[in-house]
Amino acid sequence: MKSFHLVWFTLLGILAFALLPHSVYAEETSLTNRQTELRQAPDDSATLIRVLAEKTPTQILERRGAWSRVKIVKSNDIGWVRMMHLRGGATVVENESSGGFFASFNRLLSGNSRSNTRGQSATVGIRGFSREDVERAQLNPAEFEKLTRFQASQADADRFAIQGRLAFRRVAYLAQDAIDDANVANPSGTSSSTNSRGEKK
Amino acid sequence: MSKIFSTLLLGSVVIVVFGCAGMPALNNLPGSRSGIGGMIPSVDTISSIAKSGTEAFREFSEAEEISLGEQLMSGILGATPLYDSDRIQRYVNQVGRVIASRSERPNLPWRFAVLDSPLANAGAAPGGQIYITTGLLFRMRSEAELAGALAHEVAHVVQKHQLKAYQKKLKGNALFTIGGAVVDAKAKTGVLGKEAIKIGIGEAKSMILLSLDRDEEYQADRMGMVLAARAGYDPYGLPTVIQILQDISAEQSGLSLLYSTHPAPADRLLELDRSLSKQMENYSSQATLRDRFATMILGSQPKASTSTIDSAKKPPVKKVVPAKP
Repeated sequence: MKSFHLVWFTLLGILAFALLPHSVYAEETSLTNRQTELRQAPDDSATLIRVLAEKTPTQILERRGAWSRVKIVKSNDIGWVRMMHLRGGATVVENESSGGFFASFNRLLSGNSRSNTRGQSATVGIRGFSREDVERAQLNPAEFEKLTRFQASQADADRFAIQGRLAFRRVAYLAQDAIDDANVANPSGTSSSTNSRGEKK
Repeated sequence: MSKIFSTLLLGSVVIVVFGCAGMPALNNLPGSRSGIGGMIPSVDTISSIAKSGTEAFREFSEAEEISLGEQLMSGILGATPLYDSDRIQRYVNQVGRVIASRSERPNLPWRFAVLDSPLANAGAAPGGQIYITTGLLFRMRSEAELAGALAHEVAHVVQKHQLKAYQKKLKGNALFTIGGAVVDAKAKTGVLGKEAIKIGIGEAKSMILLSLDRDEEYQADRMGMVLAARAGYDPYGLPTVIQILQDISAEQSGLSLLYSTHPAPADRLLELDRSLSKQMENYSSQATLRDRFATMILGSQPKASTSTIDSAKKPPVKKVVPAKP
């Protein structure tokens, strides 16, 4: 009898262990969205570790600008991949297709259903947006007024940028996105790019 | 037949009303743009459109644009309240204003609302009214990501994408004018008394329902990265948010039919990569401000590491819904 309990506690422990960490790491799981290179440093000229096929499962360890540091699930190689060459949304695929400790436990626990892995809410997500909410919706001037109290002034924004050491840079839109001055009411049109603060390095 | 129809309509309302026209991928229901679901015309909507139809043929003035946007925001807040944290509301307004001040329309009455909703979403209404839900905000891990999402919305406002969509819709509907319908429901606007235009809630909902063209979404992505870079942020925050949306949509695979009409997150990444990834790399070592983000979102907690954010995920994300970015 005792050992029966022990088994249950052990199972519960494993269950908790399997579910919790999974939910933490799951969203860092990713697949390559094309053939790409795994490099030793976040730079196109860094040493190539190996070429990765499309849909290689990876775990994202760190993000740095245009690059992500990843661990390749199968080989455990660690290196840098262009972040644009990774796609999120690999969680489900990972659970189903690849092995891995958590994946198998989750499969076990959830049976055929995917909804037990991490998106517990997958099928109930719309709750909270009931038809009553929508039917009840009215203009809400009081809430709007409250929002207005949180508005940041230009001076607030300037102070905030300085606190964060955010330096203004001159960066142009692509030509196809250039703002037609007539499109915006602001007569100066190019306000930000003519702003004298900061310099592009 | 009518039952099926109205069920369909309700479905679209539920999702799209909150689905912003801003970050596209998920908010599209079949038909939400055209065809059946498109306009869900309530009586007051049609009648007021009929009345305003002729007016729609001229451009809106900036004052009208602002007043329209403020009323739409008031309607959005009528459906989903603000998240109850002055600290977080102020913080998001500051980040947003920094971005907006680097845009071509720095002087609009910019407002950035954090809505208390598990549906991951962000959106914009004309004239500088922007919202983001807690369902999206609490999945982010840095200020650069928040800045990127807001910059996408700021770009829509700068380009007047929503305003143009409304105008197009008004023109279209004017051709079908249904005479003599009952009106009313004109806005009982308390604080919004002075505006040039008044809309009813039905009309507001139908405007909020409009979705944007796929090219406009791609454009807002490109401009969003540029705006974030201008403001001093790592511009890769926006593509990171798009990857977060991919995670969400994968979880929601059962609902994936619902988003079939908008650009998928994967396509948005490919487009960004193709168009300006290289130019943006010069700025990729700019600020991410993970620590400030953690402190502001988690509260007084001193300097949280990123893993803390993941596991503590403070205001818990209860349910994640497919949204549309």
